[in-house]
Amino acid sequence: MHLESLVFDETSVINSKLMELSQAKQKTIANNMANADTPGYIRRELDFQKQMKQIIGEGDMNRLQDFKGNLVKDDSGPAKLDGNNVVLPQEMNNMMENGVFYNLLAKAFSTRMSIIKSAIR
Amino acid sequence: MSIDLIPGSKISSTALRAERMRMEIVANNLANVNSAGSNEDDVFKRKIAVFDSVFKDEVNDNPASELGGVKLKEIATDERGGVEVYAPYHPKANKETGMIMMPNISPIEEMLDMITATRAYEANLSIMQEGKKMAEKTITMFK
Repeated sequence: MHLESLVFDETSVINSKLMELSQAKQKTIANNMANADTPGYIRRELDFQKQMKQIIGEGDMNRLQDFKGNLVKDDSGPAKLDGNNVVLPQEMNNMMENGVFYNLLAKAFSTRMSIIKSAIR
Repeated sequence: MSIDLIPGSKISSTALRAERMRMEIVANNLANVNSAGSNEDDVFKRKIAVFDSVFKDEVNDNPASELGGVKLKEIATDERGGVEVYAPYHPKANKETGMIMMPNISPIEEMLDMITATRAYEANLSIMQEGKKMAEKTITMFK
C-alpha cells in the first residue's frame, strides 16, 4: 500500500470534489442574489447530485476529477411581474445550508487527517 | 486569472456597485423633487435604474465561472407626466395661466426604492460574509 493512497484515496477525492462544488454553488447563489432586481432574470441552480451519484456508483474516480456540475435555469417558482423569479429569503436559506454543508465537509476532512495522524504517532 | 479564494466575492461586488448606483439615482431624484419647469419638456424627469445580468464567455469548462453578476444597463427616464401647480409668482410660470410644471417624482416611491436598495445591499454583503467564512474554513482545514 502506497503512502499516497493513505491520504488521497476515494473518500478524499469525493470530499474535495464536494467542497469544490459547494464553492461553485456559493457563486451561483451570489449571482442569483446580485440579480434579485434584474428584470427577466431566471434563477440559476448548480445541478450535480444525480450525475455525481451515478459517477460514484460506477466508481470512475478519473471522471469524478473532471466533473464540474451543470448550470441550469430554474423557472419552477412563480415569477414577479418583471419576469424575475428570485426569492431573497429562499436564496439566503440556500446560502446558509450551503455554508453548513461546507463546514461539515471541512470538519470531515480534518477529522480524517487527525485519525491518520494518531495512527502515525 | 488571479486566485479566487472567496467564492462569489466578485459577483457580489458587482451587485454592491449596482445597488450603490441605484442609491445615487434615488438621491438625485429626491434632490430634484422641487426642480420646477415651465412645461413638460423643461421639467426634470424621474430616472430609473435598469439592471441587467452579466454572463462571461470564458473558455473554461467550469459552468460556475461564466456567472458574472449584475450591471447597471441604463438609466431610463420615467415618462409619466408632471404635476401642474398654480404659482404665478414663479419666474418660470406660464404668463397666461400662471401654472408651473413640477417633476413627476413621488417621495414615497423614492423612499421605497431606497429601502429596496438598502436591503439588497445588505443581502449581498451577507453573501460575501458567508463566502469569507468558507475561505476561512478552507485555510484552517489542517488545524
